[in-house]
Amino acid sequence: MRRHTSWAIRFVAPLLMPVVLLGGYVLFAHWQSNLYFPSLPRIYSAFKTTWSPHGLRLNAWPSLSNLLLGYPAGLLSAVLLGILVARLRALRVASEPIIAFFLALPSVAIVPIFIVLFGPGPGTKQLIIAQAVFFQVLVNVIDGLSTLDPTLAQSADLFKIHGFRRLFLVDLPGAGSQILAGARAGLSLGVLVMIVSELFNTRFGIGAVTLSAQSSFDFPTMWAGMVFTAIIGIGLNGLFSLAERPYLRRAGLLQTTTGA
Amino acid sequence: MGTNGRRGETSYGRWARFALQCSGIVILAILWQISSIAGWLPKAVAPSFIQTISGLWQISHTGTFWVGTANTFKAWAYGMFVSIVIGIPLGLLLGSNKVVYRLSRPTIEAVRPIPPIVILPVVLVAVGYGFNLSALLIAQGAMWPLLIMTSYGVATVPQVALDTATVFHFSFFRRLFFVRLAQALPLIGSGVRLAAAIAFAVAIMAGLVGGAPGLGQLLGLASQANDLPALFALTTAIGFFGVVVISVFSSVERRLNRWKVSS
Repeated sequence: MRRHTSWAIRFVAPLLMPVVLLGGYVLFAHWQSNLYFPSLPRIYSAFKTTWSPHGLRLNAWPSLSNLLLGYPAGLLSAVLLGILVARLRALRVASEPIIAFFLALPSVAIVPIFIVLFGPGPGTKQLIIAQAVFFQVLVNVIDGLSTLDPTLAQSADLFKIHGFRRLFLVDLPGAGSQILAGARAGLSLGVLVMIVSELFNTRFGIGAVTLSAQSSFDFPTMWAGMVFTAIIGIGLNGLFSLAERPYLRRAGLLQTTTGA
Repeated sequence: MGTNGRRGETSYGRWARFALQCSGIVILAILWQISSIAGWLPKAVAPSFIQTISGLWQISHTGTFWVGTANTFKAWAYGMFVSIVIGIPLGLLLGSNKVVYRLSRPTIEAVRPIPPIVILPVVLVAVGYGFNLSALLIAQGAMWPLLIMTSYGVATVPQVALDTATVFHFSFFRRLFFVRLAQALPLIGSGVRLAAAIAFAVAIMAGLVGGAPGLGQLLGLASQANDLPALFALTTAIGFFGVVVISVFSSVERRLNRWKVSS
């Protein structure tokens, strides 16, 4: 009996709030009967036509393929450079203000420079995404690697673990949770600049189709684009949680074995 | 070889650190200048370091730049104010009741990875181009970290603190403000810092994409005119302002962290 209620709470409770919010929107759209806030069925039918298999290929694929190339490129180069910088102490201190500058510079603000320098092609967009991800991850790799638990370093010294073995067995796993936090933040930043990069001289893409619908007063399609963007953001974040699970499980196991 | 000084921070004095950081900037500037003289950067399009600095000097003498800066920070301050006034009390409300917290948390967690630009099109048609657009977008973008951090901080107050308040017959409001809110202050501090940085980024974005008056709008105009020196100068200026915002709010966060009661 108790198990039943707990299962019900587990699956129904998280859905309660979205349902209330959706209901709120339905009522709001009904009472307002405003052009800007179309009813749910209209958004749904626009969603179906905008994101049909053809629409997905036309508008979602260009955006997502840019992310698919740009994100790993930014992530990998940040990890590699971060390892190097964390190793060389002088370089780490010397690069601090530069990295702080690029972290503080909103990645959206750097988009126009790239577009004007390299044109509005897909390569530019991949580069924009890669650089946004790069700084977000880089700072976390450097910080994670240079604030490792001193006991860990001492144990590694004691067991004479050096070089690449040390990097892959001790240092990177030790900094893992922080690197993953950076990678997650980088992913949502990547989605943001993916959309923003499509708002300049671009015909196809999730951001382009949403903004062009807005400027041609096709509000259901605009909402379809907005909902799709939200789904991409939530979905990729969910995928990331799934992907980091093996590491977290191992780190958790590690904790229990060392704690015992 | 064995101990390669993991706790390296202490081995550099304060001044040596400062000198190294300055030399890092100088080396980058020299590399930039050399590479544009040597033609590694496309000379026709990418301005050199000196051109960028002189561009920065020039725009700092124009009225439009300072008007844009004022507009950006006006929208930023307004958006921050609204997000704090809504986000912190709402977080307090959501966090202080276990049932409400459980019900709302999954939704809030799900909403978090949605990029703040999503609602731009509908805000654009609803309030039009202008100050309201950027203030609304900023408030919306900055509210989430505040809401999440406040509700989390309030929900994870140690039971001992709550029990102590019960023993001393604290009234509802005293309990809310002097136990829950006080305990959550360090996390709220991080939330405010995150919110300030996001608010600044959204302020730039609103100008660039939505044409709201401010530095972002100037950036958009420069890119439409293909004016690269102005573009580089403006982007550099925006970076400096970003550094200022982040360092100010990091120090605020550190101040609030002094409140942290070690348990």
